[in-house]
Order: sequence, then C-alpha cells, then structure tokens
Amino acid sequence: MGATLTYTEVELVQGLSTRDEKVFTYLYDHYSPALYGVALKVLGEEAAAGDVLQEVFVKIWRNIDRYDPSKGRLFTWMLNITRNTAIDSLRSKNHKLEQKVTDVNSASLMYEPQLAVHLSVDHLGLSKVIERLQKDQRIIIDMAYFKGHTQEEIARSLEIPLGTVKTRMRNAIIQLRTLLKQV
Amino acid sequence: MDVQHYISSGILESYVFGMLPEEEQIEVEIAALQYPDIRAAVRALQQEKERFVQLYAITPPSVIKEKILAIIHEEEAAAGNSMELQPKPSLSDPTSQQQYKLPSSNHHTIKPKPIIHKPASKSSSDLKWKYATAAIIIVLVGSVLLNFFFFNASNDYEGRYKELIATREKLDEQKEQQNQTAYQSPSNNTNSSLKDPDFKLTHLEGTSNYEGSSIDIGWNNHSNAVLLLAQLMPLPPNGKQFHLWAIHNSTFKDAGVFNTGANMTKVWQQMKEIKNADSFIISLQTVGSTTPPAKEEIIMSGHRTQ
Repeated sequence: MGATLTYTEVELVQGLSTRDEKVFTYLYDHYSPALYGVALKVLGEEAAAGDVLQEVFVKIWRNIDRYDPSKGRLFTWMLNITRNTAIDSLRSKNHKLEQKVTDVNSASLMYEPQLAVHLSVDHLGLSKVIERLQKDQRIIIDMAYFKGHTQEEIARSLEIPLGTVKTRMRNAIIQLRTLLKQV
Repeated sequence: MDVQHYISSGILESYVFGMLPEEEQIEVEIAALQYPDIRAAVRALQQEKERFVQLYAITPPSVIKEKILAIIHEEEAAAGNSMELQPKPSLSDPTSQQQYKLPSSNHHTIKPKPIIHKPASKSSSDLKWKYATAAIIIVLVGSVLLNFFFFNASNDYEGRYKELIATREKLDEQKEQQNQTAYQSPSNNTNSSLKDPDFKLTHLEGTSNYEGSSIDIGWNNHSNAVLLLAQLMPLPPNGKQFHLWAIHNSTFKDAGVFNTGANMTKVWQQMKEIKNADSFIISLQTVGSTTPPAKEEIIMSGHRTQ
C-alpha cells in the first residue's frame, strides 16, 4: 500500500479537515479493505460488517479533528474506530455474556482458512502467517483484538492468572513479529 | 521508571491490541509521551498490528462506497437535517462523544430556501375551494417556516462545528504563548497558507533517542514563510530546547525555537522566515543557544521537498 501513496499522512488529515472529498475517496479506496476485513472478522457477517464500515467512514469524516497524531498514525486511529464500532455492534446484537465462553471453545475454528481473505492477500505472501501462529497465541490475539475481551475475561476463560495474560499476549506478538518478518 | 522492564512487561502489546482497562491505557499514553523508547516500541507495535490486520483485508462491496459518499454529500450540501445522520452515541467509541459536546455559538444570518408562493385562484367562489385554498396557504406558510427552521438548524450545526475547531486552535495558540512568549504564535491564516501550492512539506523522522518522533515543516519559497508541526515530539529535557535550522550552501540559518509535547501535536507553529533551504534539521541545544548546533546536537534532518 505504501508504494502507491500519493498523499502524506499530514495531507490526508488536512484534506479531511478541509472537507476535501477527493482526499476522502482516496482514503476509502486505500483503507476500506483493511477496515472491512476487521469488521468482518469481528462480526462474521457481510451485511453487518458493511453497516459498520459505513458508520466508520462517516465517523472519520465527521471527527477528523479528534484524531491525535501523538497516539499513533491515521491508520491506527481508523483501525481503533473500526474495531470499537464493530465490537459495539457485536455486543448490541445477539452476543450475550454466556456466549463468550462458547467463543473461547470455538476460537480455534475461527482461524479456518477463508478463501476470500486468502485471495485478497496472497499477492502479499502473508496468507500462511496466521496458520503458523501457535494455537494458544492465535486464541489470545483473537479474543483480545477481534472479540474485545478484557484481560480479566481472558484470564477467566483460559483459566490463567491475570498477570500471565499480558506475558502471553507479548509472546504471541513476538511470534507474530517473527512470522511477519519472514514473509 | 525502569523503561526496559516496562517495555518487556507485555503492557504495550496489551495496549496496542486494545485489551487494557481505561486507566491503564492512559498510563501507557502518558509513559509514551514521556519516554522516547516506550513511544518507539508502541509505534513499532502499532505498525505490526497494521500489517497483521492486512492479513484479513478484503474489498468491500462497491455499494457501500456509494452509500457513504451519498451521506457525506448530503451533509456537505446541508440540504436536510444533518442531525438525523449522526451515529448513535457509544461508550467505547473514542470519536462519538464529541458530537454531543458542541458549545453554543453565534447565530448566523441564513437566508431561507426561496419558496415560490402561487396566489390562489380568484375565479372560484365555491366554499369548498375556499377551504382548499386556505388549507394550501396554511401548508405553504408552514413549509416556509419549517424550511427556515431546518435550514437554520443545519447551518447552525455547521457553524458550531467550525467554531469548535476554531476554539480549540485558539486554546492551543494561547497555551503556546503562555509557555514561551518569545515564540511567534501561528497566524490566523496558517491553514490557508498551507493550501498555497507554493507551500512544500518536508517530513522529518527521528532516529536513535528520538526514534518514532516526527515533525513536518512547511516552507513557502516565494513568501519565505516557514511553519512547523511537532506532530509527535516529546518535551525537551530540562535546560534544553528544540531548534529548527535551515541549511543552504552548507551554512546554517536560524529558523527559531519551537514547542513540543502533547499540546502541540496539531498546532502549526510559525517559524522565522527562510529565503533559501536545501534541507532542514532539528537540534537539541542548551536553552538560549543561538549558535549553529554541533554535530552531536542534531537529532533530525530531511531534505526539503522539491
């Protein structure tokens, strides 16, 4: 994605602040696949993910003045909005507290290869990365990032001490980092 | 604080992947502002997360783009009641609360949409027609009033939104003036200056101790104006100041001292005018120093955009 960028991050932010629709369209074209992918992974349903994506881009358009570069890049901010909106939507739907337990039990199934996802990323040669993560590491990243579980919930579900959750998360990310570097 | 221990505790991974309670999130954000190593580690993790989510990237149906563009067009045209389009408030969403905190603003004089009033037919003497005519007039008058009301409401919302942005910029400006009165505050036309095509942006990235820091410099080679955005830059250590220098024909030109830190991330600071520049550098020097920096005092550099 980086190679084709024609706007710097500052230009994107300024463009959005000045309500430049060309900049907004560019932003959509470049970032919507990643954001839609996150929403789809959280919600597991195309229609709901589409609704979330729509809400997310309208929020980006309206709230660009809330973006704080000291907390991360624009893409990170957009990812945070997407994840939070998708998790809100997930919670407001039919996912009740008890289902979280079921989610944990079936967490390994969530990493079954998805044809569409793989088709879209195969050119990057990244598609095998997820499968190469160890199962317990995949589960913790999935629970934390895509299902929005807190440390306490993860500790309870995995029956591990609270302090271990952070360490395990760190180990998972270290392994992910190694795998991403090999690509 | 033992920075390395903090970095290796796993708290940063948990922060970046969104599993910390709010107070711990804030703790990490403060630590990242204070310690360049922590900030650099957070940045690196965020970029890893960005790469990670790309694994799941998938092109959304094209109809979504059309819908979004229709919504923002509608908002921009301010033709309808834009308040209807606001997303539902959400506790966990960092952006959604803002819409509900807009301050009150001055009222703008807005002309209502012109509505053409056709005179009722004079030829009809039938009572039924009289009632019908009266009803039509009432509807038309109501329509004019409603149009006026909604038009005013939507434009007032726009006005308040703009005012909110202006207020924030003003506050940032005041903070900057309080911190260091010697600095020139950004002029009101900063934003319009940046739109000038003669304004070229140069992006500087920090290295070693300032890994992860970034600064943008806007320079207009016609007006010689220089603006600086300390997008991501910590406060200088005690007794030190950050200094911008332009380099032309191997000589240093003083472009002035600037502010950094959390309050400055969105404020374009007006620097001293520069006639010629091949590149820009940032130095960390003793407070009050006006002599060109020694090599080891240079912390960032970048060639200016052609």
